[in-house]
Order: sequence, then structure tokens, then C-alpha cells
Amino acid sequence: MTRPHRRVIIATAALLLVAASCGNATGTAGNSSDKKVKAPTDGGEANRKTHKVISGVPGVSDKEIAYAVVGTKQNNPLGTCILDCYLDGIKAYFDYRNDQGGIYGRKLVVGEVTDDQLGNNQADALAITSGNKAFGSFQAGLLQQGWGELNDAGVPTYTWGIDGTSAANRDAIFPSTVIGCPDCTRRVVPYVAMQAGAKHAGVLGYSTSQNSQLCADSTGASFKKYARDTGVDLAYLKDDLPYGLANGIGPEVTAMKKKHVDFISTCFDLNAMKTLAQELKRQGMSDVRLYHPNTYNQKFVQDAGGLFEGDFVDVQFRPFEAATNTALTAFKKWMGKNNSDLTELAMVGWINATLAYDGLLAAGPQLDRAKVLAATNAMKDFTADGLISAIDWSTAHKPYTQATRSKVKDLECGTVVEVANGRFRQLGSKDKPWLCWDSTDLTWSKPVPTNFD
Amino acid sequence: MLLGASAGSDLLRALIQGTPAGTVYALLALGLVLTYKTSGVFNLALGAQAYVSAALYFQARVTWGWGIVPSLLVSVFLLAPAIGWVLERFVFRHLRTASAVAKLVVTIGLAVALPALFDLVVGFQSIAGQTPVGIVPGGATVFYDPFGVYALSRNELTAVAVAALAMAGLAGLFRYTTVGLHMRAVVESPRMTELNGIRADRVSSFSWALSSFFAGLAGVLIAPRFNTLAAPDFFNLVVIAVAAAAIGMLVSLPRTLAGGLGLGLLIAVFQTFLPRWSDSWPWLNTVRQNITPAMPFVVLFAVLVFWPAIRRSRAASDPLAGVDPPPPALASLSRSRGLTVATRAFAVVFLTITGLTVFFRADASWTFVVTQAVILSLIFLSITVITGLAGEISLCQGTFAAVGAFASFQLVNHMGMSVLVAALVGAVIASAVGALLSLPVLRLGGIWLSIATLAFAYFFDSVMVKFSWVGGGQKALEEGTRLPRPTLGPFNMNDNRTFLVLSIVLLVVVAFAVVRIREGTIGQTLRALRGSELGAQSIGISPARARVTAFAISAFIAGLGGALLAIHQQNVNYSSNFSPFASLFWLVLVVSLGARTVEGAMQAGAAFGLFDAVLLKGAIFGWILRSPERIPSFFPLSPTWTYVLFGLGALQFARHPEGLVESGKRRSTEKVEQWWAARHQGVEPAEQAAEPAEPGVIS
Amino acid sequence: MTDVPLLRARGITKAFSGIMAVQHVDAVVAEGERVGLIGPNGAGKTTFFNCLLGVIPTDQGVVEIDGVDVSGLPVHHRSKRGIGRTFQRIELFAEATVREHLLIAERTRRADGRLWKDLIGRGRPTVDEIERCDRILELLGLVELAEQPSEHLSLGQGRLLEVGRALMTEPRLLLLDEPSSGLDHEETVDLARTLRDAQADRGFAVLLVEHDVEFVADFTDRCLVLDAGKLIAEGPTGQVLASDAVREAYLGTAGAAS
Repeated sequence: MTRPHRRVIIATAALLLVAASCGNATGTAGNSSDKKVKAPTDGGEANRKTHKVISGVPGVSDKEIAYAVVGTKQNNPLGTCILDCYLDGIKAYFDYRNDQGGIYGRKLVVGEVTDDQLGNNQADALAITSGNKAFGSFQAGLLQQGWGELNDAGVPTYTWGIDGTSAANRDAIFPSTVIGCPDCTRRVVPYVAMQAGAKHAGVLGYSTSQNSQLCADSTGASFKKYARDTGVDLAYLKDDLPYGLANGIGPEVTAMKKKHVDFISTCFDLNAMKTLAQELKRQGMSDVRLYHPNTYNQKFVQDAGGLFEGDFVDVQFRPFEAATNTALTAFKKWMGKNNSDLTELAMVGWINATLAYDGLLAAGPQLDRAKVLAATNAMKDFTADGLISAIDWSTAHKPYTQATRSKVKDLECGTVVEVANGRFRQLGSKDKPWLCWDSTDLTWSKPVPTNFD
Repeated sequence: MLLGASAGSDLLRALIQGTPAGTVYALLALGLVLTYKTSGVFNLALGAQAYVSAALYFQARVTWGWGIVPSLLVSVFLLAPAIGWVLERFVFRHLRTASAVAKLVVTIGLAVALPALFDLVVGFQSIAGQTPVGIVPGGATVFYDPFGVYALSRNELTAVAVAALAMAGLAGLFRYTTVGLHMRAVVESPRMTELNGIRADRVSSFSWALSSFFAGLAGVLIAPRFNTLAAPDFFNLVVIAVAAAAIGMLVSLPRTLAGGLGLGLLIAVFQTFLPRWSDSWPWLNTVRQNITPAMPFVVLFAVLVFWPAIRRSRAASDPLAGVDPPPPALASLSRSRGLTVATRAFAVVFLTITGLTVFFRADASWTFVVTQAVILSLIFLSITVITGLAGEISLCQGTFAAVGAFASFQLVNHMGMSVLVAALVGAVIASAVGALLSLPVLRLGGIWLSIATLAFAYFFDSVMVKFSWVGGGQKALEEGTRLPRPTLGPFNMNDNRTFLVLSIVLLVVVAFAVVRIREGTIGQTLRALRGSELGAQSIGISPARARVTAFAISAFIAGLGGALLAIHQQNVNYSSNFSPFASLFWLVLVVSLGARTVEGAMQAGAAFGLFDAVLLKGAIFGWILRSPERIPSFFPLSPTWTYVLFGLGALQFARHPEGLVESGKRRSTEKVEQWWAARHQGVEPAEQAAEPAEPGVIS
Repeated sequence: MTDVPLLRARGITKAFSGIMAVQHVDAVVAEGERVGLIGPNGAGKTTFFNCLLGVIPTDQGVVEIDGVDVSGLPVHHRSKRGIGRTFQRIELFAEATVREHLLIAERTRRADGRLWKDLIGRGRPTVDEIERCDRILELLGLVELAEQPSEHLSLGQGRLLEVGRALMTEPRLLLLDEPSSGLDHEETVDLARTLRDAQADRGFAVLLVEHDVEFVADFTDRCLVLDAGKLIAEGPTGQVLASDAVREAYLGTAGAAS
């Protein structure tokens, strides 16, 4: 055997050894069972003022409990206010609670605020896990690359619920909205279409985002499933449009016109809704009513002239137009004190902060991160004091599908506003703003107007 | 049935729909061809120029509240030609004899830097919901329906009319004016004109101003199509314009015009009819779902690869480029032995100290950032191979890296493979993809090769990623493209430091391999090909085979690095790591710093990974002042500065084609050796490597 | 020896945008033979030459090496079948030293460029390879320039290096494209002498395209004459150069030019 050949063989053998000895590190991700702490029992309002000495818990001093906030500002391709608005909501909630004396003799404070500049979320998350200066973190980044790190480190993390994937199977991640089942049918859209007197529905989604594509498919499936009950059939479905609609949406609108579509539900961003509405107008279909998933922005709707008149807008929380409740009143009051705008992101911040506070309260005065996580994950009915439909945190981390749905008890709720004279108006009862269905029984029924106070 | 009874009116409608976009594409493509033919620059920054005009117009109208006419005058008639003139006068005039590669790199740098610079200077920020406005009142709300099949908005009609007017103007200019005649002469035969006493400089300046004016006009006209004004959309426009120019084969203006218009129409026709055909033939459905967004890239790729005339136009691919001056020998080869030892010793000491500091002092966040820089250096070595050694500009290295990353993700998640093995297999798959891609692409050569790789990157981005066997499908939908960290014997790489060590080891191994390849037969063969393709062929070297090998090696390295990056981040994170734009950015960064040496790649990796954290956030001042509290308050700087600096780096590349690192190294080597020689009189200074001819002052 | 010639070209025809550069030219070169190809400027010598090598595709005609049709094969395949060449406008490898030129050629001849060999550091020249290089360097008198980058060579030295590079591939036929162009008389004489020595040493056949009649007369046994793309004469060099047709077509012009 010549020398080089022997060297090659030795190298190959070494590689094989490496291959045999290497495996995949099982991260703590999704495996928190091995360090599960029992839900504490000494929490609750009664002990709220009890001060105990706590040492060695990151972010907790004798006077303060500090949280880190990370969100996208620079490089935000949407150009919308994310981090600042989100921060407004968190600060307002902290002010509100601190005004009541804080918790366990400590004030809630926002510590380090970081702009993840779209791409640095993971490094910023590691700064939190290794910095030991924050008890928990708030996250409103557009790319959620750091959530895995935060979850693995057991940092209670409260997030903007725009993307279910990064939160799935991560017990320390608490989004403001849980997208537990992206392909499940929902009754709220066909119901609204029926209320609007529609006959033929069209559904549109992007191919660029699988979320959007699935959203369109599941909405389409919902129309089909309940067509006989609602009298609205699925006349047109296209789930593969390019993001941003740079080539316009002319052919699709023409096709819908041919099929006499009079109601369109989309999974678009608000800009694309404008493109769609303009194209409808161009082809003489201004009467078609649109169902918007992401357009809860009063200024945008008003600025669009009459383009969106009569449309419906899905809202992720108790709409500002609904009858007010304690939490909504407090939100408006404390936001007003800081002269902050009532934005969607501020509400997300407020909801996140509510869960952070509730988790602390449930964990008891001798708190640490693990206790807060355990206590939060034991909450079966979190509604942020009536601002959102109920979340069962004991099951919400685990995604499921339409096929496995029957095993999961999860209310099917939605709240919708309509555009009248350029202003939003609560659809249905102002006192019971949510339309809810029992998720274990998928046959058609009338929605139950619900209030989550 | 293939076409319904109403097919005629459907076709008419599609044609009407496609016309406004088509005319604007044509306008932009004409701008591209103009500068290409008069100065040999394939101007990928044209989209950026269009963006700047569109954004200024928007800013003036909406934010500053100006009227239509003054806004238009300033943004299109003043700013746009001025940009073109400045670019020609201060940048490209000095690059006349530079290689096609140098010119391409500079335009990519400008494509990144111009919008960033504009945003910084004007304070522009695109905001969702603020739709760009057209150049006529009520442009988006008033409709006309001349044929009764489809109504065009006032904006669209204006776009068609203005674009047609501009093109008629161009035709008139060519026919009736002296400068137009001269331009035509230059366009048709660039070499002849110098002989005929036409002042090419003036013609070139004028063409640049005109081309930029066309770009600005196209930008303002097409902006209302986008619902938000953002620079990336305009870069995509350039790709479409490139496809149109490819149809015109960069020679014929009328054919370019037809190409642009045709593309607009083709896209509309496909949008109209493909869904219908796929109702009849379900298999078309998969194609349709993915192909509509990718039409321009598919057309571009198809034109480049299958249109035989393009291949034959190879000789004419860069009309003005002189023969590339041979790159000077590497400084490390020409310097004296003592100095080499000293430099190496210094490098070892410096790296060891840095390494130890990171290892023992850095927190998880810094370790993460440093690991990222290490892995990027590894990826950048793939550019050292393909560009530094083989002399080819590949604009799809990010795609190769993505292939490696996705392949490991799939193997780990579906076959339960151990992640390190999966990374290796991923690299092999990337290598195969690289080799396969290179087969059709290599026949192109020169600038078309680069453009074809760019088209491939976009094709992968808009089509391939959507397939569940690439991008992950249901699983990715539920929880993203997650990947675990590996264990290796007793080492658990969940520990960031251990993973950093693994990354460094792999980087060293790959760097060593690259050096070996460079010095070995393959490197020599590639160098021979670069030196003289004819000469190499004459001794039996097969250019195709050598270059396919280079592509395969390069894609292997990129794939390995991509997989490693995904493992590092425990997620593929395709869009933030590997988008086509990342490929462009990487390439320019590496070639500006030095594509021929391993150090160049490493410095590029460090720059890419650490620039933001160390400089923009001001951490370095925190270290110097020994407290993070003392970082001056104007930090963190806007990351937009990164892009501006990046553009300046690309301009520097034009002066120092061997890369900034290499040129710096040579200069300092020379200085030290002169100083040494002066101290030890009688010793002749080491023979200096010939500095390449300075192409002129660029500042 | 068989009666199949080393190189046979039949009916080579090539037109550039309608202008016939070469029309139905036949040529045969036997093993070890020294053949000249002469003709005035624009006679189509270089075109014919490039057709033989496959640098440009022919419109019509067949090129055979050892009786095998190679018309469709690319340049490097023809090289592997034993055809080496030099260039009128020098085509050396920028950045490479004289020795490296020869080593690359040697490696290519052996088809020995395996990736793994490079990776384990076997890409460096072996003793055997260095010896073979040295022999060629000696033969061509380039020993002292071995470590010089090719940019530092004079034109004449560059030509020699091209010859050496071609010789490393052990060609059976060496095609020389105007080796004397750009050289002064003395250099030309040197070059011719070195070439003759090398040819005597190695025994390869030569097809010489040349302007310099003296060179051709001195170096070749047989000679082809091209004029306006057509073969106008062929035969032993002495006879051909003496013939009237050649004098009129070629020498007249050449005489006027020099």
C-alpha cells in the first residue's frame, strides 16, 4: 500500500469514528419536563405586599423586578412602529401596577431596551440569558430567532403573537395570541359573510409565507364546510400570490368577478388590502365586502378614503370600540398619562405585561423564574383581565391540527369590527364583543356572544 | 379545454394589464443597455437610482407637501441625471479599462449604498400604509376603460404615455442630434469611435446622465404599483430589466425595448391563463403555484442558458474592457523570509490572545457573535475558491449555503441523522448542486455567468424554498426550521464555547484545505486558466472540467458553512441568512477585502459578523474606556451606515482589485523592507511587486 | 510504421461573414516530419491553423489524428492526442514562474490532478517531475530563468517557454504559430537553433507557420503555400520556395514588406 493511500484510509477511519460518536444534543427546548417545578400555591392577591428577601435571581433586587425588552425598529421592512409602541404598552401597565404599590414590595421596571435591527434577535437574546440583569423578557421582533435561547435558559418570555412557529413547543414563551392550529377551520369568517348577506366568497393568500397560505386554505375549508348552513359558498380560492402583490391582482379580481364573488376574506397585510380594494374599484366591484386580518389601524383606514367602507376587520383583542371594561379603562388611562397613542402594539405590550404580572402574583413572594413559569403554565383561563379570549397555558404551547383537534379543548372565538363612515364599529354586541363556538363540536351553530371579563 | 370562448377578450385583457409594467421595464432596460454599451458597465445599481428618484419624489410630495411639477423637476429632471453624471465622472470613467468583474462589484456596492445614503441624507423611511403617489392627480382613483375589457388607472395610462414619449425622444435624439449620432456610433461600435475622433468621455457622461434619467423616470412611474416604497422592490426591477436586456443581447435597443414590453405582457398572460390550464391539467398546479412570482428570473435564466446567441456574444460581452492586467503576486510570496516569519508570529500571538479573551471573558452573546464571524469566514472561503482562484463571479454563494443548511435540516428531522454527519452530507449535496448549475452556466462566461448565478439565486428564493422537501413544509410551519446542536464524543455543543471551538477547528481545516488546493494541481490549473485560457487548453487542460471542479469545491465549502451556521443558530433562518441579497453582499465584501487570500475571507467574516456589535453599537469605546456606561451617547449608530461604508469599500475595490487587505499588506511589507534595507545599508531593497496601474483618483 | 499519417486535414473550409478565409485545404503531416506553412498576410494561415487545433470550428472538412476524426473535439482533447502548440501572440500563464508552467503541463499530461492529492499535500512537485522539468529547461536553455515569473521574460524567452510547455505534454506534433514574429534576427536564429536541437532530441513532427522564409527554408523539409485561402503549392521546401507561383504570390510581397 502506498503512503498516500494509507493516509486516506486513516483519515476515513477517523471520520467514521467521529460519525459514530457524534449525536444530536437534546436541548432543553421543549423538554422542560425534566426540571418541572410544581405550580406554587402561595401566590395570589393576599400575598401581594409580602416582601421576602430573594437572592440569586436575575433581575430581582430588593426594590425592583427588571425586564428586558427587545423589538425591531431599524431595518423594519414594514416601516411601522413596533418597538416604541410595544414599549408604550408595557410601561403603561407597569405604571399602573406600580401605582398600586407594585408587587412583593418591589417595582416593575423596564431594564435594557434593545433594537434587534431585524437580524440580531438571537445575539440580543443571548445577551439577556448571559447578562443576568433581567428576570424575564418581552419580545416584539419580526424575526424571532432568539426565542429558543430564551426558552432553553428558562427566561419567562412574553411575546407579540405574530408567528406561531417560534413559540411552538416552548414552555417559557408566552405569545399575546396563540396560533395553536394554523389549519383548523373557523366559523367566524363564514358567519360574518352570512351576516353581510353574501352568497359567494373568495379567499386570497400569499405563497411567500406558509402561514398566509395555510390561513387562506383553512378559511377556504371553513367556507366549504359550512356552505350549506350559511348559504355562502366558496367560489374562488387562490393561496399563492406573491408577497406585496407587485404584479397587481387584476386577473384574480377578474376571475372573482366572473364567479360573482361578493365577499373576500384574505390573509394579507394591510398594504395589499389597499391594492386589492383599488383593483376591485377599478373593475367595478366596490360593493364587495372584504374581511381584513391585519388592518386594525384607524388612521390607515381613514386615510384610504372610502376604499374600505363596509369592510370587516379582525381584531386580536377586545376592540377599543367594544364596551369598556376595567382593563380597557386602565389601558386608556395609563396610556393617556404618557401621551401614548392607542396602537395595536401598545395593546400587545399591555397584554404581555399583564401575563408577566399575573405570573409573578401566582408564583408567590419567594419567586424565581422556574416558579413563575410553572405558575403561568398552570393558568387555564388567562384573559388579560378580559382583553383577549381565554388561553389555557397548560395546553397552549403544543400545536395541533384539524385532524387531532377533537382532543384539544380550545374555544373558537373571534372579535370583529366593521368600517362605517371611515370609523371602526363593533360588530355584534358591544358588551359581549367575542363570537365564540365550542371547539369540540364542529357542526354549525349560532355563535355565543361572550365577554371574558 | 385549452382556451375558453372568451379567450380572445381574456388575452386582450391580459395584454392591457401587462402594458403599463412592460413599458416601464423597457424604459429601465434601455437605461441598462445605454450605459453598458457606452462604458462597458453592467449597472446593477440602476434600480437603486430608480429608487432614489422615486423616494425623493414621494418625500417631496407627501412629507414636504410640494406640488407635482417641482417634485418631478427635482427628483427626475435634476437629481437623476446628476447622479448618473457624478457616477460616470468620478467612478466609472476611471474604470474604463478595469475588468468586468471590478465594474460589476462596484455597481453592486452602489446598489446597496445609494438607497442607504439617500435614506440617511433625506431622512426617508418607508412606512406601511403610505402608498406612493403618481405624477397626475387622482392617479389611483380615476379609471378609463377604452376597450370595455379592462380599465386602466390614470397612473397607468400616464406611465405608458410618458414612457412611450421618453422612448420616442430617445429615437429622435439618436436620429437628429450630433450627440445622439455619436452615442449611436459608440453603442454600435465602441472601439471604432475613438478612432473617429468622437470624444468618448463626453458621450459616456451624457449616456450615464440619460440612463439615470430613464431610471429615475421609470422609478417614479412604477412606484404607485408598489404599495410601500422600499429599495428591494427596485432591485428586483433591475433583474427584470436585465432579462429584457438579455433578450436584446445587450446590443440592440429596439430588441431590448421589445424584451421589456414582452416580459410585462408575458407575466400578465401567464397570470391569466396558467390557473385556467392547471384546472385542466392538475400537474400544472405545482408549477403554477411557484412560477408566477419567479417569472422574470425563470425567463432570465432560460434566455441565458438556452439562447445560443448569448453564448456566442461572449467575445462582445464586455465591449470596452481591456485585457485584464495580471494580478500582482501575493505579497506573502514576494516578501522576505524574515518578515514572513515575523508576520506569522504576530498573527499567531494576536489570534491566540483574542481567542483566549473571547473564550474566557466573553459572555454568551459575544461568544455567539464571534462564532458567527468564524462560520461566516468559513463560508467566505468558498468565495476565495470560486472568485479568488477560478476568477468567476458567482452571485449565488448564499444559495449554496442555504442548500447545505436545508439539507441538514431535512436529514436531521426526517432521517434522524446526527447533525454533524448531516452537515457533511448537506455540503456534498450543495457541491452537487454547484456542479450541476455550473454545467449550463459555464458555457456563458464573463458577466453572463454572474448574471445567471444571480438568476439562479432568485429562482431558488422564489420557487425552490417553497417546496416542502426543501423549505420544510408542515414541520417548518409548526415550529420553523429548527436544528439541534451536535454532541461529539464527550463534548456537548449546547455549550456555546465548545461549539465555538468546533467552528474554529473546522475553519482552520477548511482554510488549510483551501491553501493546499491553491498550491496544488487544481489551484495551478485554475491559475493557468486565468492566466491564459488558450494556453491552458493547448496543453490539454479542459476549462469546463476545471471550473466545474472549482464550483463543486466552492459550493461544498459554502454548503458546509451554511449547515454550520444553521446549527449555530439552531435554525436555518433562510430569509435572514441566505437571501439572494446576502449572496451579493458577501461577494462584494470578500472581493473588496481580498478574495485571493485566506486572510481576506477571514477579515470579511470578522467585518460581517462583528462590525455591527463592535463599531456601530460602540462596544469598542466601552472596552477602551473600560465601562459600557461610558460609551458616547451617539451610539448606537444607524445600521444604515454599514451599507454606506460597504459601498465605499466596493469603490475602493476598483482602485485595489487585489483587495484592501492584500494591497495594505503589500504596502506595509514594502515600507518595512525599505526601512530594513535603509538600516542595513548595502542590502538592496527587495524587488517590489509592480503596483497595478492606478485607475485614477476616486473619492 | 503504418501508412496512416499523424495528422491529416481534408477539405478544410472556413468563411467569416461570407468571406472565404480558407477553401478546401488539404494537408498531411507524418510522424517526425518537419513541415512549413507559408503564405502572405491574410492568406488564411492562422485560420487554417486554428481549424486544425479546434480553436475555431470549421465550416467543412475533416481533421484526423492517427486516422481518427477529431473534427468535433475541443482543443484540449486534440492536445491529449499529441498535438502541442505555441502562439503568435504569447499566451503564458500570468502569475506563474517558468518552472510552474512546465509543472502544470506535466500534471495535465499525467491527468494527475486529484482533489485528495492536493488536500493531503501531494500537490507539490515530485522528484521525478522536477527532473523532467529540468531536462526540458536544459534543452531550451532556460535553467537560469526557472524561478522567474513569466512576466519577466523577454519575448524570445517567452516563445521558448511556450515550446517547453508544449514539450512537457510530450507532443508528437508541435504546431508553431509564427515563432519569429516580434523577434530580431539574432533572436530568431537562436530560436531556430534551439528548436532544431529539441526536435532532433525528441523527434516530434513540426508544422511551422512562418513568415520568415529563411527560417522555413532552414528548418523544414516540406512546405505548403497558402494564398487567398487556397493551397497553391506543396512539396519539398527548396523546390517550393524556388517555384514561380510562390515567388509571385508570396515572396514578392514578403520582399516588399521586409
